[in-house]
Order: sequence, then structure tokens, then C-alpha cells
Amino acid sequence: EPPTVSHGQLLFVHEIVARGAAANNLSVRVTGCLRGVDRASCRASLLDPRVAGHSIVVDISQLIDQNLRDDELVQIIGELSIVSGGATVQLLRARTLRNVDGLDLDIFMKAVKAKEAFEQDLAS
Amino acid sequence: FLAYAKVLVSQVLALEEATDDGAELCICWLGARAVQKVEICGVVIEAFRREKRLQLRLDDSTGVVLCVWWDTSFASHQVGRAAAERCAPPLGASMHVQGQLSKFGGEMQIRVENAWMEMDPLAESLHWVEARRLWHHVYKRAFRHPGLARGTRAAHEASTTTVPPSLSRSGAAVAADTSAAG
Repeated sequence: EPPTVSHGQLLFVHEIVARGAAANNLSVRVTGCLRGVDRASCRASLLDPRVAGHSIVVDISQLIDQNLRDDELVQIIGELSIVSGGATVQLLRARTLRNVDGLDLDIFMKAVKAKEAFEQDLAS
Repeated sequence: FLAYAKVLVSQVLALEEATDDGAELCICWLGARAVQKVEICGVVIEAFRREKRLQLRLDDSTGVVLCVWWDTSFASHQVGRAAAERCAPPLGASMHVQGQLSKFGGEMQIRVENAWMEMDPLAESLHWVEARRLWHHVYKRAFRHPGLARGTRAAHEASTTTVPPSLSRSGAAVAADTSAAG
């Protein structure tokens, strides 16, 4: 059976916020801190763990059976969509979530840069 | 050739087949090496049971690949166990998968031989770094038998000492061939 979804491109919350409307329909994998989990509205916020002041809204309707806690460090794979209301909001429709509490973010950032350099080497 | 090559999913999807006999199990070129087995590490984004097999899709942020785990496949240490249905791992779980390359319906897949859940949140990142290291230092370099390298050095040394002219010429010829191939 052919793949039904694209792979989640590794982006951080501040990078998604910076892209604005250009991030619409992008499949992404984002690492961040969960905040304000609301099961009634199926919404939570995902805060950037390294760059203060950046967050996106997460639709957790597909994850409602999972044990979600405020302030846990998580990695979410899902699709971004731009929701226009009074203000334009970036919404991440989460497909999968895993807890990554204890992840060394410095080493993770270095590994991400090394992977991106590797992918560029392979493409050239 | 029989070891599991540590790679990214994007590398698996871009592999060129080394044979064109249409067999389901593939031998492919990974740089300068022929490989038939790979190891990947990724997040489970789909998992579902089919008849006699478990099908997983793993996403390692470079691509998505289908991994097929037949109920009757066992690692060598499990020989003798009865076949049992494998349970689907939870979505979002990080997993290592080792298996054989195969192609079905034009899509490159992995026929799972070993798979295990990964609890360390850094494990996937370390796999990327290791895949990169192995690519640069092993896979994209032509294989050289260590014995051939020693023979070349010995022949070169022999050619610079007092030796019969015929051996000196053959020693110089081997050194020239090896340096030309390198």
C-alpha cells in the first residue's frame, strides 16, 4: 500500500512561527513543552523549549486517549494549518505524540544540524 | 554484506538495485557497497495487522518507509518458538528496525528481522549521526581487503631492496595497480 502521509519535517516552534502562512499544510515534527491541555476543546499550546515567547496551538483530538500533562517535553508529528479568525492562528493537527522528557536539547540541536548537513551532502 | 547498514529512511527510498532479476528481496548499492540489510530508527506513524503480518510505517524525519513483520519470522535465537501474532506498537513510539530490503509494487520496503522499542529520547538522533559517520567513512568508500593492503606494502618494500628483477617488476606493477584503483 502506498504511503498515505508525508514524513514530518523537523522544525522548531520559533521556526514555524517565523514561517507564518507559508507553513500551511506542512507535515512537521516539532519538539516543545505542552501547556494548557484542555480535553473539552481538544486544544493545547506547544511552547518552544529554547526560544521564549514562541508557541503554537495544537489540536489534540487524535491524542485524547493519551496521558497528557502540562510542562512535559514532547515531540509531535502532524500537519500545520492556518486558521483565520480575528487573528491568523497556526494550528498543528497532531497525529502522534511521544514524551521526550530528559532529552538533552543541546545534543539534539547538534544532531539535527548534522542530519541536515548529511541530507544536503546526499542531495548534492 | 550480511551486516545491517545503518541508514536514514531517505537513503532507503533512494537506493538503486544492484540486480534486475525482479526478485522481491533486493540487493542495492549504498555508495560503493552492495547491501541487502539495513537498520533504521524512527517513529511509528501507522501500525496495523494484516493476515499473518504486522505492517508498520516509520518516520525518521527524512522519509516514511513501510516495514513488514511476518508472524513467522524469527531472529536466530528465537528458533523453535511457535509463530504468534505480533501486537502493534503504540503510535508515536520510537523503534529500531533491522531487516532485509525488498521491493513490492514499486515501493521499497523493509522485511523486518529484528525490531525493538527505543526508550532513550536521544537514540534516534544518535542513529542519524552514526548513519552519517558510516556513510562518509565506510559505505561510500570501495571495500579493500586488509590482506591486499599488506601484500601491496610488502611488495613495494621488496622492490626497493636487492631482489631478482622479475619480482621487482611485479611488485612495482601491483603497487601501481592499487594506487590507480584507489
